[in-house]
Amino acid sequence: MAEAEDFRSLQSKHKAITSLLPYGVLQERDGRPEILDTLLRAARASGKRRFVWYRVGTLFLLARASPRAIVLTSPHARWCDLTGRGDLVRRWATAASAVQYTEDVCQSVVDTLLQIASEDELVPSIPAGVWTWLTKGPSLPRICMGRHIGARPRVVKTVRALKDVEVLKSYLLVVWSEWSDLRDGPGFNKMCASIRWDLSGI
Amino acid sequence: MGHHRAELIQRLDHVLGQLDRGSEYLKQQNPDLGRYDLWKAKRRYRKLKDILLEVERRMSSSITTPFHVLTLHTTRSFSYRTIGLSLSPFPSSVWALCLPRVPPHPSLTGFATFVGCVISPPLRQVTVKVNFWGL
Repeated sequence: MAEAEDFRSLQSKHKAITSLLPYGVLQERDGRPEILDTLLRAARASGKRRFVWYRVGTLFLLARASPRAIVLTSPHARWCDLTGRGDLVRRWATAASAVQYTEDVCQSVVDTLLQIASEDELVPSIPAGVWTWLTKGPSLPRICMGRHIGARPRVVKTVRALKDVEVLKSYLLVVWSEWSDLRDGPGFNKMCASIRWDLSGI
Repeated sequence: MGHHRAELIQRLDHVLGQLDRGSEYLKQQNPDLGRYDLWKAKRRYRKLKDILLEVERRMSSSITTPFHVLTLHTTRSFSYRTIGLSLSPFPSSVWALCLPRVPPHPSLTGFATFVGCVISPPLRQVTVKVNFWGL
């Protein structure tokens, strides 16, 4: 179902896949994660950075999702226009602190974190501890909205404001990739400045 | 800080190596990727690496290059908050400290790296040697 070559046919079935999400989340909560895991693989194999699930926010709010489901589905939420975003970020952060570490979980947390950090309004809702997920050295998948958005100037500015060299270095290691489309502009300039000033100690 | 820079340079070498594999490899992900896009991507990552190497060179030579000297007068104690140091009144008159970074003095527009200071206890005067960048 979720082979990379099939992404065009998967895209044509986007609505069907999306409509299965609530069922997959409920099944996952009841100890049967197979459907949710398949949906997540399908989203990843779609070849699209933005395989958006508008229902993710609703599921969080209704407390229907387990911490694992919240963490794994959150990269596919449209964080820029969710309702009650601050509350959702807090729920997501709580879930991230409760869920057991796996490579997939780490990738999802970092992917979401970089998306949230690009929204000025949401940055204060991010607990400081969540940033340490970056230091676990996740290797993000090729298709990754977080890496794409994470190179924006707002995110660079937010990471620099943490004044944590370890987090800053880990952040740069994540966003510097042959798969990212790092562009000239304010974000890139801020990265250059960050190297000159934040990483220039002895 | 040097090991952080080394790790980042290593990462950039990896990325540049992958970009050198050519557009065919990267087109797996982005079918619209052209030669010019690839050239621009390489240029950006090379620039990041050049800056890191430049900082590395600057830091390794900072101990031997002449320092600008800044004299700071403390008021009641040896604690001078604006440079982020807590200078307890040690009997020794000469300090040889190497701290990775201190925040810039409010009156300075550049960045200061603290490399050492001389304390004259009777006058409660601290002479701090720093390297200034970006002034």
